[in-house]
Amino acid sequence: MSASTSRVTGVPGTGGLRAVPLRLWLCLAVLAVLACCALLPNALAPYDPNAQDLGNILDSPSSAHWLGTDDVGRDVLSRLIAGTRTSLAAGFIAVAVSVLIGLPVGIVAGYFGGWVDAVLMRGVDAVLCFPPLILALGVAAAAGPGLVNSMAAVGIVLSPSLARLIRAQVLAVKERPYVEVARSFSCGPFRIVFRHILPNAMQPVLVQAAIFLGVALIAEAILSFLGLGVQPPAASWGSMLSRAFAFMPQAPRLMFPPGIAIVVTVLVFNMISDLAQERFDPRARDRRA
Amino acid sequence: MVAALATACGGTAQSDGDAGKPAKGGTLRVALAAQPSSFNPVLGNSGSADFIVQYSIFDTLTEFNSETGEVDPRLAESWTFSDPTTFVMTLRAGAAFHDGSPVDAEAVVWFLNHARGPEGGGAQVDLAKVESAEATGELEVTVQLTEPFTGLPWVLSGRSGMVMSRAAYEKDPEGFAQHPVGAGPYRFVSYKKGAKIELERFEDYWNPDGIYPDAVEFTIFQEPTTILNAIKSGEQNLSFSVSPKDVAQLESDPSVNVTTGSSYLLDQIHMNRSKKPLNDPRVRRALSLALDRDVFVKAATFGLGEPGYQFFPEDSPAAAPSIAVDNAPDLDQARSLMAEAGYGDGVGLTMLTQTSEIEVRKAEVLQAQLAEIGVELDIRPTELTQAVAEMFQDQSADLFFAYGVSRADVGDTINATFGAEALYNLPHEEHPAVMEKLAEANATSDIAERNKHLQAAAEAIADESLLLPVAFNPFIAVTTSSVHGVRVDAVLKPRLDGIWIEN
Amino acid sequence: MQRAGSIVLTLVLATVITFGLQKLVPGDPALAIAGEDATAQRVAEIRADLGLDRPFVVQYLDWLRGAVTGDLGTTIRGDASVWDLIGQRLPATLTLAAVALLFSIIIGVGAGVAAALRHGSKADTAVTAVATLGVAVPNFWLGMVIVVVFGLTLNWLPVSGYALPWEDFAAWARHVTLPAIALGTAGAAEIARQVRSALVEVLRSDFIRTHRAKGLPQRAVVWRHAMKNASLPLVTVVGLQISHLLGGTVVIESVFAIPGIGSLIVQSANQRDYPVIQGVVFVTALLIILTNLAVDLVYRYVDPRIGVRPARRAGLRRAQRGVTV
Repeated sequence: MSASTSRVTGVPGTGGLRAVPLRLWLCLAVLAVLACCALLPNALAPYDPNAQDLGNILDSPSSAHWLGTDDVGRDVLSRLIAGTRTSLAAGFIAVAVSVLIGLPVGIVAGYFGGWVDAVLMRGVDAVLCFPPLILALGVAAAAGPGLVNSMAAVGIVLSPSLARLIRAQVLAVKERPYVEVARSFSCGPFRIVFRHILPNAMQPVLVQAAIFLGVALIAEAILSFLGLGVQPPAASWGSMLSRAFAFMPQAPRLMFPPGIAIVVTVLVFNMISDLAQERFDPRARDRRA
Repeated sequence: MVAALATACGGTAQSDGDAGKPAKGGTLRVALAAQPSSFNPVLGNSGSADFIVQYSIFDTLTEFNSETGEVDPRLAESWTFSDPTTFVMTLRAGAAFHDGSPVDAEAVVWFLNHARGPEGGGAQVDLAKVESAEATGELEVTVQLTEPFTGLPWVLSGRSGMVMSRAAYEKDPEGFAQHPVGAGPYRFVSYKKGAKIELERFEDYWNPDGIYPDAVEFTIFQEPTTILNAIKSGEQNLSFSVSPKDVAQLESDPSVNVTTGSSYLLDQIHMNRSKKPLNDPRVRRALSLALDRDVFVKAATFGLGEPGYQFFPEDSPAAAPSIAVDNAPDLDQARSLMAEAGYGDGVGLTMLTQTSEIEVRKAEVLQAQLAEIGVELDIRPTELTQAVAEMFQDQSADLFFAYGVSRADVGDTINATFGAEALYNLPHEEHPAVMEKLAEANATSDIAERNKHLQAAAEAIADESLLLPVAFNPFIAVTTSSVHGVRVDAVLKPRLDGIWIEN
Repeated sequence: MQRAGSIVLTLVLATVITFGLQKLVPGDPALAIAGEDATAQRVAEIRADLGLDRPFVVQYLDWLRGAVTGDLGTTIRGDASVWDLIGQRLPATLTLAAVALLFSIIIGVGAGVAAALRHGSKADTAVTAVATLGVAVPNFWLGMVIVVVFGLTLNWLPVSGYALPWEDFAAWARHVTLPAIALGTAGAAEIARQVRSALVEVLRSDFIRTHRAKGLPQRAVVWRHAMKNASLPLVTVVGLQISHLLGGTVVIESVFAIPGIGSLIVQSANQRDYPVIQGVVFVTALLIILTNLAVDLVYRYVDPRIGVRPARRAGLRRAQRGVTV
C-alpha cells in the first residue's frame, strides 16, 4: 500500500467523493463516543463495573440494567464503558510497539541497503512465515500474563509488515532530488532521515497505524479468548466476549455488546484509514483516472 | 454420613424405571474434556480423563466403592494383612488379558514390580512402600512392605492396580502406550491422539454381566460448551465433563438425562506457608473465616456443590465432624486476626488460577469476598504447569486457587499434599503433626480405627489452616435419554460398568 | 539459485524463532509429565530423561537434524510420533481451510465483479458497505453468533465435531459448512474489496475501451480480458488468505470443536508439549512458504512479463492491508 500501488479502499470516483463527508461525520461521532467512554468511564457508567451481585446473575436487560447483568451480577453496560479504555489502550500499546520496532528496522534497511537490508529483510520474511496469531500466542505466552505483555506481543508480530512498508517508503523518498541534494552536501544520515525522509514517508505509516488499531482490537479479543488477556476482574471487550462464550448456552445475548463494540470500532478505524488514504494520496487516484 | 451420601446420589435412579431391562448392544459415545495423558496406566498423570478410558481397557485388582469409602474385590477376590507389613492377596480364577494370557499371580507380580520400577512413572510414588512382591501360589500374591501401609488395597483400585499384559509390554515397550493390552471389559481398537479413541467389548471378560455396549468411542473436546451441544444434538451420548452452570438448562431438556451427586473434587487455595504473610497461621485462619462458602457454592457451582470446610467431604470416612462449625464465616474475627498479625490496614496477595473462564470466575468471587477484610487479591490466570512451577518451584505467588480430587485412599492424598516428598507443599518439608497421624492410620488394618486416625490428620490440617478448602464440586453425568445405568463416582473416576443403551 | 538460498535462509531463521520461543515460554514440560505425583526429585529425573538440561544450541541442532531428515520426534510423553499426529490432524484443518477459501473466493469474486460492473450503483454501495463490515468482524465472534443462531436456535446444522470427506462425505458437508463460513467471511470481504477496486481500474483503462469499441460482448470483455488483468491483486490476496486461514483455525477449531492442527497447538501449548508445538509451527511455516512460492509462480503464469522478485515485492506491498491476526 505504498504511494505507487493503487488500491481503492473506499469508493473512488464521483459517488465516493460525495459520500466522504457523511462517512467522516459518522467516524467522528463514534470516535467522540469512544473518547468519552475512555476518558470519563466513572461519570458515564451507572454502576461500579466490578461490583458483583450474586443474587442477580445473568439478568435480562431491564430499566435498572439496560444491558442486563453478567455471570456474577455485574452491570454489562458499565463494564462495556469501562472496557472501552482497556481495549483502546490495548490497541495503542500494540501499535506503539509495532511502530517502535518497525520504524527503525524499516528506515535502516531502506536507507543503508546492501547486506544490512538483506539481513533485516530475511528476518522480516522469517517472521512473516508464521500465521500472526500463532506467533502472537507464542510471544504472549513467553512474555507472561497480563494485557500489556499480550499486546506488546501483538505489536511485535505486526512490526515486520510495518518495517516492510517503511522500507519501501524510504527507498522511494531516498531517490528524490532533494534528498540527493542533501546527501551531496554531506549531511549526516540522521539529519537526512529525520529532516527529509521521515516526514515524507509518514503518511502511509499513519494509514497503516489506523488499520493496526483495528487489528489489535481483534487480537485483544482473541488473546482474551485464549486466556492471555486483561487481569480479572478488570473489563475489556475481549474479556467480556470470552466470558460470554463460556455462558453462551445460558445467555447468548452477552456476546453482543462487546462484539458489536469491537466491530463498530474496527470499522471506524478502517474507514478512517481509507479516508486518510484518499486524502493523502491524490496522485495515485490521478494516475488511475 | 452414609445417609447424606445416599441423598446426594438420589438423582441416579431417574427414569430408568420405565426404560425396561438392560440390554447388550449399541455404541457408547463418550465426550471427554481432556485427552488421556497416557494409555500406559502407570505413566498416566491426570485424573478423570485417564481413568474413564483406562478403567475400560485395564481391569483393576480392587475397586473403590465411593458409597462406603471402602474397597471391593475385583481381579483380587480377597486379601488380608497377615501383619501390618505383609499383604496377601488371592486372585480370581479365569481372568485373562485381551491377548489371551492369563491374569495369574505371576502376571500380577510382574506388573507390581514393573509399576514400582524405573519404568513405572507416577505409580512408583504410589507403591513406594512396597519392598517386594512374589507369587506364593498360582493365584496368590504376597507383598512385603517397608513400613505399615494399610492403604495399599485402596491404591490397588487405581492405576497401580491396572494390571498390564506382560507379553504385550515386552514385545514392544515403547509402543505399548499406542497399543495398550489389559484385562478390562473393553479392548483397544484405535486412537487418534487428541481426537478419538475407539474400544470394542472384550468377549472373554471374566465378568460379562453389566458390560452392555458393543463398543465405546471417546471423543475429546476442547471447549466444555461444545460438549453440551454435542450431547443435545445426540452426536455424543455420555459425558462426565459438563459444567454445573449447564445443569439447570439440561434438566429441563427431555432428550437428556442428568445424574448428579456429591464428590471429593475440592476447590481449594494452596498457600505459600514458607514466607510472609501466609507463614502466620492467624492470616491463614482469617482468610478462611472471611470466605462465605455457601454464597460461593451458589455462585460458582450453581448450588450443586457443597461448601468445603475441610480437606475431605463430610461423607468421607476421613472427615472430622468437629470442623465445619469452626469455619462458619466470621468477618469480625477475621478482621481482628488480621490486625493481630499486623495487617489491619490490609494486604495484597497474588493468586494464581487456571485460565478457563469458569476458574477465573470463581477467583473473582473469592476476590470480592476477601476484599471485605482488606485482602486485595491480584488474580493471575496462568496455564496449569506454569502455575505449578511459579507457585511451588519459584514460589513467586502467595496463593494458588486450584481444584484437586482426593485419591481413593484419602491417606494417599494426605501424603501427596503434606509429605516430605510432596511438591504441592510449601515449605517443602514434611508436616510432622499431620504425617504422624497418617503413619498411625497406615499401621492399622482395622477400618474403623484407621478412619479415626485419618480424621485426626484432617483435624491437624484444619487446626493450622494448612490448606484453604473452599467447596466440593458436584459429580455430574449427562446422557442422552436412551442411556441408562450411570452411577455416581465420588472420586470422579467413573467406570462404565452397568451403563446400557436403549435401542 | 538465489531464490532457493533465500527460502532456505528464511526457513532456518523461522526454525530458530520457533525453537527459541518454546524455550522462552515459562512452564516446565517435566512438571506437566510428573503431574499430580510430582516430587522435586522426579521432576529433575524427567528433565534429564528429556534432555532438557542440555545447552540450548545442542537441543536446537539436535532438533534441526531431525527436522531436516523428516523426523520431528515424538510427543513429550513418547506416545505418538509428531508426524503421525500432524498427519492425523492436518486433513481436518486443510479441508476446512479449503472450503473457507473456496467460500471466500466464490463470494468475494462474485460480489466484487458484480459491484465493479455496476460501479456507483446502489448494489455497488451495498457490496462495499457489507465488505467493509465483513473485514471488521472478528471470525470467532462471527463463529459464536453462527453457533447460537444456526446451531442452537434454528438447529439447522451441527455446531461441533468434524468428519473427513473421504470417510463420510455427507457428514463432512454438514459439519464443515458453518465453521467454513465463520472462517471465510473476512476473506470474502477482503477479496470482494480487492477485486472490485482492481476491476474498476481495469475497466477504465484504454485497452478495455478498445475491446469494447471493437464490439466484443460485455461478458467476454470482463471475464476474458478485464479479469485477467485484475487477477494479480486477487492472487496476492488469496495467497495471504491462506496464511490467515491457517492462523484463524486456532480459534475457530476451538469454537466448533474440530480436531485439527489449530486445536492441536492449543492442546499442546497447555501441556507444554514442545516437540508437537515445534512440529506444528514448522509445518505451518513450511505451508506458508510454499504458498508464497505458489503465488509467485501463478504471478508468472498470469503475467509472464513480471520477473519473480519484483512481482513478489509488489504482491507483498499490496498485501499490507491484509495484515490481520
